[in-house]
Amino acid sequence: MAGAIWFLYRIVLRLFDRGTAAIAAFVFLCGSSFFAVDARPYALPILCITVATWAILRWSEANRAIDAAMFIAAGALAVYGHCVLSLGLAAPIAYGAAVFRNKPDRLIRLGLMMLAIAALCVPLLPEVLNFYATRTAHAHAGRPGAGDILIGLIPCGLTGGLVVIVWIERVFRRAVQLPAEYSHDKALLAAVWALFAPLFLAALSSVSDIQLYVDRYFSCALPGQALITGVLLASIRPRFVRQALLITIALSTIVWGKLLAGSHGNDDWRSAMDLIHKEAGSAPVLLVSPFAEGADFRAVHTPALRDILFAPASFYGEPPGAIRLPHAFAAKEQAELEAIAARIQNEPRIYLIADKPDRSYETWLVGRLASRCPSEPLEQSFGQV
Amino acid sequence: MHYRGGASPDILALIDIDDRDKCMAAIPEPLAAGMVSDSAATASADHAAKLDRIWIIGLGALVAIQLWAGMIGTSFWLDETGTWWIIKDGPAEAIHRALSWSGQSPLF
Repeated sequence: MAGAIWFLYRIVLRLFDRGTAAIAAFVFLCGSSFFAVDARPYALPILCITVATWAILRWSEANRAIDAAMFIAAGALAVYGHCVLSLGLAAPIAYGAAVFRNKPDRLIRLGLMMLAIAALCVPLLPEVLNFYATRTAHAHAGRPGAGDILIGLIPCGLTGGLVVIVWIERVFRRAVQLPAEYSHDKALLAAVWALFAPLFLAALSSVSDIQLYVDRYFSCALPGQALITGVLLASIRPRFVRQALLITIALSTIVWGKLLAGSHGNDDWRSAMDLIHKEAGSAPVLLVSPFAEGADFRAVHTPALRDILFAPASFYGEPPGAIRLPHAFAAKEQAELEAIAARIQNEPRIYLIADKPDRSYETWLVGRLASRCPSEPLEQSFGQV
Repeated sequence: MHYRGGASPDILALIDIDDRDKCMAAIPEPLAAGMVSDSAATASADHAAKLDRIWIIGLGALVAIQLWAGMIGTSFWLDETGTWWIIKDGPAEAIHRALSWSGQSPLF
C-alpha cells in the first residue's frame, strides 16, 4: 500500500501541485489503512492500478514505448491481482480516450494496449468462470441501498462527508481556490476512478444475482476518491480550516481503527480459540464452517477441504473435542444431526463457535438440550465470531 | 501566476547574485520595490507550503504508526486464515490452491 501511496502522490503531482499531492496521498493513507495491514490481495491490484494510471499520464505526455509497456504490464498484473478490482483500470483508459479523442492514431494505440492486457489475461479465464459459477458464495451484502452507495463513494467515512460539507460552505463564502491546472480531462480521470467501480458493482447487484457490492471489491476506487478529496481540501481557505480538517481525518481514522484493532475485520478468532483452549478441555466443541463452500456434511468430510473449511481453527489450533458442522444449518441432513445430538446430550458442557448472525445451530441446541444443559452467554466479545 | 513587476522571481533566481543586483538597479525604483515584495511574498508562500507538506507527512506517519504497525499483530479475520491455508504447504500447492479456491489471487 505504501507503493500505491507513492504512485498516487506522483500522479497528483503530475496533474496539480505538491500541496494537493501531499494531501491526496494523506487522505488515501487514511482511507486505505484497513487494506494496508490485511493479509489479502486487495493492496496489490490497487498498487498496479496506480502504476498503470501513472504510466498512462506519462505516455499521454511523452508517447514513449516504455510507458506503454509499463501500462500494459501494470494493467495485466492488476487483473491477476484481483479480477473485480481491475475495474479501477477504467480510469486510465477513460483518461487516455478523452485526451486523444481528436488523435485517431493515439486512440488506436491505446486500443492495442488494452488488447495486449486482455491477451495477457486469457489464462485467467477459467478462474473468472469459476468465480462466476460460485458467485452466490461471494454475495455477502445483498442489494445496496442509497445509503450504502453514498458510503461507498466517500472515503474516510463520516470525516470525508464533513470535508464535502465544509467545502460547500467555503464555496458559498467564496473561500475556495481551485487549482489553476484544472482541466476537464483531469476531472474525468478523477471522477471515473472514484465512481466507476462502486456504481458499476451497485448497478450489477441491482439488476443481477451477482451481489458484489462489498467495500473490498470497490477499494480500487479509493485512490480516485482520495484524489478528489485532496483537491477539495487543498482548495479550502483559510489555511487553519484545512489543517483542522486534516487533523480531524487523522484522529477519526486512528480512533476508528483502534476500535477495530483488537479484531481486524471484526473477527477475533484468536481470542475465541484461546478461550476455548483454556475452558473446554476435552468437552465437545461444535465448529461451524465459516466458509460458504462447506455447504453440507459431505463437503465438511472431504479430506482435501478439511483445512480450508475450518481454517481459523486449523490456524489457531483445533480443540481436541471438535465436531465439524456445515456452514448453513443442515436441516435436511437429520441423520448426521441426530448422531451429533446423541454424542453430546450427556455432556455437562458443550461449546459452539460460529461466525454468522444466523443462530439456527444455537436454536437447535437449545431445543434439544436446554432442559439438561442451559446456555450460558459469555461476557466477552469476539466481533462476529 | 501574475507578477506586478512584469518579471518572474523564478527568472531572477536563475541570475547570479551580482548580476541580479545590477538588473534590479537598472529597473525604476517603484517597479523594483514591487518585484522585491512579490518575491518575498512568493518565498513566504513557498515556505508555508513546505511547512504544510512536512506537517502532513508527520500526520501521515502518526496514522501509519498507530494503525499499520498497531494492527499488524491482531487476530486474523476469516479470509486471512484462507490466505494462510493457501500458502502453508509451499509454492506449488500455493499456486494450485490459489487457482482452485474461489476469490483468490494467483499473483498475491
